[in-house]
Amino acid sequence: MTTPAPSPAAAAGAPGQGPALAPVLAVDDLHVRFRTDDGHVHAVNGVTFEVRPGESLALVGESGCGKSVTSMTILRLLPSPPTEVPKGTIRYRGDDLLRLSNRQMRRVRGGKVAMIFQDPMTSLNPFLRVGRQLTEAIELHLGLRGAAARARAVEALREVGIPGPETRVDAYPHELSGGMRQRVMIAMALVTGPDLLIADEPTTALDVTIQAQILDLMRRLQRERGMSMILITHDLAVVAGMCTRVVVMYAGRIVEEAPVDDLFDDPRHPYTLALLESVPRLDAALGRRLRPIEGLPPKLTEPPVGCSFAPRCRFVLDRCRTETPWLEPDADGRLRACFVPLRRGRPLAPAGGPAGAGPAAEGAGGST
Amino acid sequence: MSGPGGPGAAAPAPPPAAAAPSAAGPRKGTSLWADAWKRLRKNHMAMLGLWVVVAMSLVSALAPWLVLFDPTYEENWIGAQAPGHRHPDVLTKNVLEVGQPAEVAAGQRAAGEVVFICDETVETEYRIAVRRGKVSDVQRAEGAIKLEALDASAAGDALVEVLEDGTRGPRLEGVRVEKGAPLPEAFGARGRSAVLFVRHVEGARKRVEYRATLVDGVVRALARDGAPVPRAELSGRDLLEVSADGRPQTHAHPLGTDLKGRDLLSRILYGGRISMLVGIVATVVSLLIGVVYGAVSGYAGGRTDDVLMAIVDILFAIPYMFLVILLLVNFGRDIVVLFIALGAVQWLTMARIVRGQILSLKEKEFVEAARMSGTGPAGILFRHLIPNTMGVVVVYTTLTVPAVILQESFLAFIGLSVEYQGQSLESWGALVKAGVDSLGTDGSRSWLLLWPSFAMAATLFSLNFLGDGLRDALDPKQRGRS
Amino acid sequence: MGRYLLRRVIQVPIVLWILVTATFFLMRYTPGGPFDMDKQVDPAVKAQMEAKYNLDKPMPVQYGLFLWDLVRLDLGPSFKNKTMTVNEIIAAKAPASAVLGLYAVVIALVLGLGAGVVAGVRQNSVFDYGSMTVAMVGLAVPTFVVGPLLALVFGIYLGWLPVAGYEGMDGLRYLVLPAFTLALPFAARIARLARAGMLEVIHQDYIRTAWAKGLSEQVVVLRHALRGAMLPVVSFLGPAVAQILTGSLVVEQIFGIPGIGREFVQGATNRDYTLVMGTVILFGVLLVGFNLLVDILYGFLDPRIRYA
Ligand SMILES: Nc1ncnc2c1ncn2[C@@H]1O[C@H](COP(=O)(O)OP(=O)(O)OP(=O)(O)O)[C@@H](O)[C@H]1O
Ligand code: SF4
Ligand SMILES: [Mg+2]
Repeated sequence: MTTPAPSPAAAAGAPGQGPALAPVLAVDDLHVRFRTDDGHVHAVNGVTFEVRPGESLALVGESGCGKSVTSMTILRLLPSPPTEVPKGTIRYRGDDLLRLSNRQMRRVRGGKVAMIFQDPMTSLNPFLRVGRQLTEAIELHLGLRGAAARARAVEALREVGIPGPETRVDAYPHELSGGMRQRVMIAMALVTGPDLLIADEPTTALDVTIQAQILDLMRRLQRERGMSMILITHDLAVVAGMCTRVVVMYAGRIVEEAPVDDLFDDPRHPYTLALLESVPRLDAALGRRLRPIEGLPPKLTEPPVGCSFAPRCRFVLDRCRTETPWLEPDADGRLRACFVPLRRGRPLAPAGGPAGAGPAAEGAGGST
Repeated sequence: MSGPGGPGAAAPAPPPAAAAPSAAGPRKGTSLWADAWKRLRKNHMAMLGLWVVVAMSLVSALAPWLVLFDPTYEENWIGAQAPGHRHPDVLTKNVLEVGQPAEVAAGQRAAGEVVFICDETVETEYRIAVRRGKVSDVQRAEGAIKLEALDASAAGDALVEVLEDGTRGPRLEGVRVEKGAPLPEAFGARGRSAVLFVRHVEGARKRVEYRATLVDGVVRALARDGAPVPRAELSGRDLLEVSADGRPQTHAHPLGTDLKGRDLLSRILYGGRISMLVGIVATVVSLLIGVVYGAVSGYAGGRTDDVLMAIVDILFAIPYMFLVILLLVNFGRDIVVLFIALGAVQWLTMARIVRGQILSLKEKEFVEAARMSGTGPAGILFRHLIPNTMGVVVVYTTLTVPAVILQESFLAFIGLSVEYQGQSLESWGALVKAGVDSLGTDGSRSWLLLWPSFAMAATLFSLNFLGDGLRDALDPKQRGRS
Repeated sequence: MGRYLLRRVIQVPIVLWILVTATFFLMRYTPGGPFDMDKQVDPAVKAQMEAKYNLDKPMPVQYGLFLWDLVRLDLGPSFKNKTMTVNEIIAAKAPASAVLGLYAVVIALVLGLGAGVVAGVRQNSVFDYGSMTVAMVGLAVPTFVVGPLLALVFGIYLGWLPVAGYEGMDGLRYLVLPAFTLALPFAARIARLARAGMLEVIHQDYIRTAWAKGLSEQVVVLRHALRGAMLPVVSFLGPAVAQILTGSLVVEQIFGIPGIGREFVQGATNRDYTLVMGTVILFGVLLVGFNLLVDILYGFLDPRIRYA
């Protein structure tokens, strides 16, 4: 995938039309924490976002920032001790998933909202044939049995491009390559016709060439079906090629949310900026310097006070350490959680603010 | 310096943030063992186990200094008594003789006056000869006085046979031996000709008071009902009361006594010594063999490893317990044989575990570093690899000790209790066996089974919990595995 | 699977040969022959007896004869029970042991698997703690303590069940106590293994996948988790047979069941060479056979091994 064509965009993806269609999924002020021997780990601290029909939303951020926890909480896949959800709602087509009974939740899982996990090597049951793992979902959500279910499974395998699906349907997972297994996972997730797919780093564990194939497949299927998707990834190149909107997370909070092109052209949050600078980009000027993000993400054992990014931020102000910035539109209507207005990587000089603060901090950071 | 995104110096060395360890990554500072101890302390069952094991070990090790009774000291006259039984203190040596040292039971002074109050029975010894199935002669031993008959049929009277080995047969009541008549059936089947020695125990008891004056533990004066006598033989059975300088002397058996009147508490504590000793020594044997074998196998790898492990596999498939039984039956039950036999069974698992550890350890950098610095294979093995397997070894050791104790007690139970230089050593298993055997048909002597069982079960239980807890503490990821 | 099984099959004769040889030499090179205990036997009779049992021949010849007989499945006459061959004794005593063992295995599997799986699925629940404490008791308290205690309580104090005797397969009342006694440590082990297996499996990614499909807990546990959780239990079943066999030595003694275990203990103390040899060989064959069976079963449960 060389030049990812900016998607001609399912109309729903365009920001202006958002309110016209009710969102498929609306997460509001979600908090998730884990009870551990050493106290609570606050993994998700007030996350709010929406997934609109037919749209594909990217969830990006450093390792440990809470992407997987957020997505697994949507399907309530985290075990109850130690996981606690003290606050928040997750509305799927109006119903709060956190309030559903187990029985109702089971109908959502797999049937309406499907999930693909990171590691295809361990995510398939080694003791069951591939076909059986597909048919159980088919039986459960489509009501087909026996030969009909099997035929549907073969079809699903063919759809994801597995050669010889009639024989592969009887294979055990260990007989398939990694890429094939991830295709099986995709087939399994999509066979029931869900309208939201959550893909948690679906290609991280695969070779680069296979990654491209799998992503192409996912993009094709998503468009064909008009399904919504949440794609969790580290890989900003993937985001550019697949998604319409991006949510950037840091330490359990959303720090910026923007249409994909806006985000890449003009990040408005220092963390997003740093993130973009830390990875090579094909479209960037040659010779652009890669700049890693200094420091470590904060420990999540205390609920954060002030901006979590403050210790690593090159634009940090005094108030950043005491006041928490919330996700708000800036002057241009772009959503970000920061006190410093950024334009094209530089702080906009505020009325009384020290204009030199940014560059000075930057210089200090760069000299190391 | 140019602005962000502009060209600049070479890219700095630190890795990109995405690869930085997460907040919940490993924390350094506390060592493995300190960490494990912290976790272990939170595991209440394991800590309880630890304390029980420590207490049991201490008490068993110190048994000779803690216990009032020699566990082999029989007080036949009291027989099996329920826990808490208390009776007058008796001299270990039942003979008092002027000028001779008196061995006094514990807690008594070496000087002063000791008063014994006894219910003495009158006993007379007779010799009875049987010829051709009939009693041919009845004679009183003292003075060789011939009699026509020996009548013990009065209430309370009894005849007691003195057996060949000097022990006494059962009390026969209501019998009369008459010259010319057949021997009463109560004596059991005899040959057509026999000679018996019996004692006529007269029912009427006479209360007698002995007074002994002790100086430096030696009897200086002795009186029977006020009249000086040179010597007295006191039977524990008859003793009603013992007092020294006016204070009553009694002793108690907190856990009761067995059929021979041996103190059960002492027996349990001494039994614990045997059980623990066997458990520990056999475990050490298995540890030595297993660790070295497993380490060599894992370190050598390749062909050698294959062959060594195939041997272990094969040995593993042999029903060892049967061979151990044969060994003990045929070559004597010496404790050394047992140590070796039980240790030899246990080393197999240890070898497997250690090998697994070594296999993964030997790929680590520190081994490479040691090799680079010129350490030979033996040095690497013994100074670098084996010390690093200590976590699992400790865990497995704690689990092996109870396993061995269990096996030894199993052997003791089927009658193969160990011996040392021909002397039988009674472990907990042997005590349980004795308890089962002396329960009685109505289970009325249950304490003889319950207490040894309890001591053993509590120890094994604790060791197992401790082992489990240690495993969880040393390897939290493995928590809950068996 | 082929290679893996082949290795196991090759081991069988080696294990048996070592066992048989070790038994043979242990029995022959011992101080005190079989006829030394009866003091009355006069030298002429003794020599005659020894000739009859080949004890007068050189050791290698004895060993050869012994192996030859063994190949023909002839375990020889009993040394002590002059009227019966070892084959006959085994045939007479094996049924009781087999019935007892069978009941014990069934009880252990039902109790152990049930408790272990539930405890694993409901980790840290009251049931988990309760059943695991009971399991620990089962492991720590030896059979010969449990047996007499059960007999004391249920046989003597409560009088519900007979404490000793054997009435064949139908005399179920007689088998309850011994079978439970024999099964307890075995059930405890299985419960712990099943629980540990369950805990390990239940945190696997593929279980999360199963949940994500919307399957019910029952299906997730029974269809997806149980198989993997069973593997450690299955590999324990081989050694378990050895445990049951040794356990039966004691249990048969306690509950007066006329089985092979009692014969073995008596044979060992009486130096009944052929009987002991016969029983050890029988136990060995059973053990090795079950281990092989377990290996095959394991292969069937785990497709990764089946095709390896
Ligand atoms: N069961 C748990 N107990 C304690 N902390 C947990 C638990 N699960 C996750 N966490 C913590 O929650 C935080 C968020 O984890 P999460 O898996 O969501 O990160 P992520 O953004 O998906 O990272 P990655 O890119 O590495 O997948 C991490 O700091 C993690 O350590
Ligand atoms: S709020 Fe302050 S610390 Fe946080 S990102 Fe903005 S400038 Fe940096
Ligand atoms: Mg993740």
